[in-house]
Amino acid sequence: MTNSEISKKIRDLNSRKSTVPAVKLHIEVEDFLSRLIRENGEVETRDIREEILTNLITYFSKNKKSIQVPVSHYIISLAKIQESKGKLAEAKKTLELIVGENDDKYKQLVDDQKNNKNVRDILRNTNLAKAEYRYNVIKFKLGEQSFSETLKVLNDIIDNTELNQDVLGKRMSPFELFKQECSEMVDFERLEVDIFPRLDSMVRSEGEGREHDDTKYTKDLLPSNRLRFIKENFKVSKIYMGKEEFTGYLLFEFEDADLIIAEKFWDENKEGKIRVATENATYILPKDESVELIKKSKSEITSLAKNNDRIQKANHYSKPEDENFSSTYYTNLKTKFNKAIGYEYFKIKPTAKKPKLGDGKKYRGSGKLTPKVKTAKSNTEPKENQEAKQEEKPKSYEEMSKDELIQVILSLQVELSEATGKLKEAIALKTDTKAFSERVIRLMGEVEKVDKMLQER
Amino acid sequence: MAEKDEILSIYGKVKDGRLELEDLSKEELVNVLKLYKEEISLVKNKLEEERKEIKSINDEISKKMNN
Repeated sequence: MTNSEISKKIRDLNSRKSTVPAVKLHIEVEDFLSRLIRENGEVETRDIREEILTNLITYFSKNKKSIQVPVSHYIISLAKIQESKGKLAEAKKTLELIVGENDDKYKQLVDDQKNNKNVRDILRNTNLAKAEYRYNVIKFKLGEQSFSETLKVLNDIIDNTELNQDVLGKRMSPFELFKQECSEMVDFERLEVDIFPRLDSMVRSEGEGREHDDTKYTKDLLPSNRLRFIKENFKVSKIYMGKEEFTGYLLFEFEDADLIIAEKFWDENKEGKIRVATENATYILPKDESVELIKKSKSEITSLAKNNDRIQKANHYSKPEDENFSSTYYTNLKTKFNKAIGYEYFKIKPTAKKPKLGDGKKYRGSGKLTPKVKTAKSNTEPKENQEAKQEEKPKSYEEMSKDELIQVILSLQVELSEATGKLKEAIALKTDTKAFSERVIRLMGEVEKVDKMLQER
Repeated sequence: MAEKDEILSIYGKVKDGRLELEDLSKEELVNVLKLYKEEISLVKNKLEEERKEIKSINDEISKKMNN
């Protein structure tokens, strides 16, 4: 169906709305939308369906005679489309037309429908329950509601309605339902209660002390310890489960930086069963490019990281001879994160786009790989910004908070470690150079001797 | 030259090889920070000296070979 045909259909529907009975229009719309999906695909028709539903909701809200049409059904369908497009705030706003405290004309319409015997069979309470269900799931996805709060609300909704059977045709626990809804989105509470105790015990029984690739695994690096480190040291706003190349990774988003940390915690076999990870690494990636980046292989990302300050990698392990390998990992991660947020392009901008990872779907969004023009070294900022920066005097150590001092010390630890490493290399190089020099001088002496002998002959 | 953990060992708060910065007071942290700065400066100076020595050895070899 071409765009012009679709537009014609909308015009047709709109032109007949004053004469066609509401129920007939509803049936026609439902039929049209189903056919649209069948013939053109669900994803491909999202935009046009969003437009049609928005028009219909507006139309029915103005025509209260259309009380027999379940507007809530359209509202939920519209919210689902918006949610699938990653427009979570819009979806939430749409659902607020019938959910929550809003004293709205739509709410009144839905209330009227609830009390109308003729439409009770169509509407029942199920649509409202569905709307409330989606509303709470979206609030969780937006980070406005915790895991336990969401679970409690969903529990109440399911207990008091027929939603469970209606949606799934079978009874599931709210937790199972929620897990199905938000399989790619998690929070610390869920991880700490559900996943990490199992992971820790697996690592303890299978992995602790094991060695591979000249590296060691230690108690300090147990999954829950690494998770706690991230929780306590960074302002995490959202957590997602990694997919495909990043299966077994958790992806962390932050309040104060446009980047994500991708941290490997486990492996999965073909049946999706969790196993102890056989390799481990942490990546710090630009958030706006991560949609594309995480589709690349890890070796590609590692290779990119070598020439790109915007991609950082922190190894979990150091060589066994390094006695402080666990602290090295934690220090590296924090330092690399702090280094990354120091760059202009990782700072949160007022006009920053909504994160594409927030769509709750597999990461197939249209993330851009084009680097932003502005870099830490560039001087293209507006003049007033530069002046404002000049006015900001650097804090003295005494003025810094304890946390800020610790951040600086952690950076200095790494700087010292790197400088010490370079010094050791330089000393070794000097020894080699000296030995080489002596050998050259000795050889040159021998060459001179042979020359002399030849001349004498 | 002091190793990095030795700096913190001044305060006797190195636990199991891990640095426990959180246990230090703000004043102690400022002191530790200054010690790190000094230590980095010493290491960098030493590194510079080593590099100069390497350069002079290389120059010497070049000179001899050219002669």
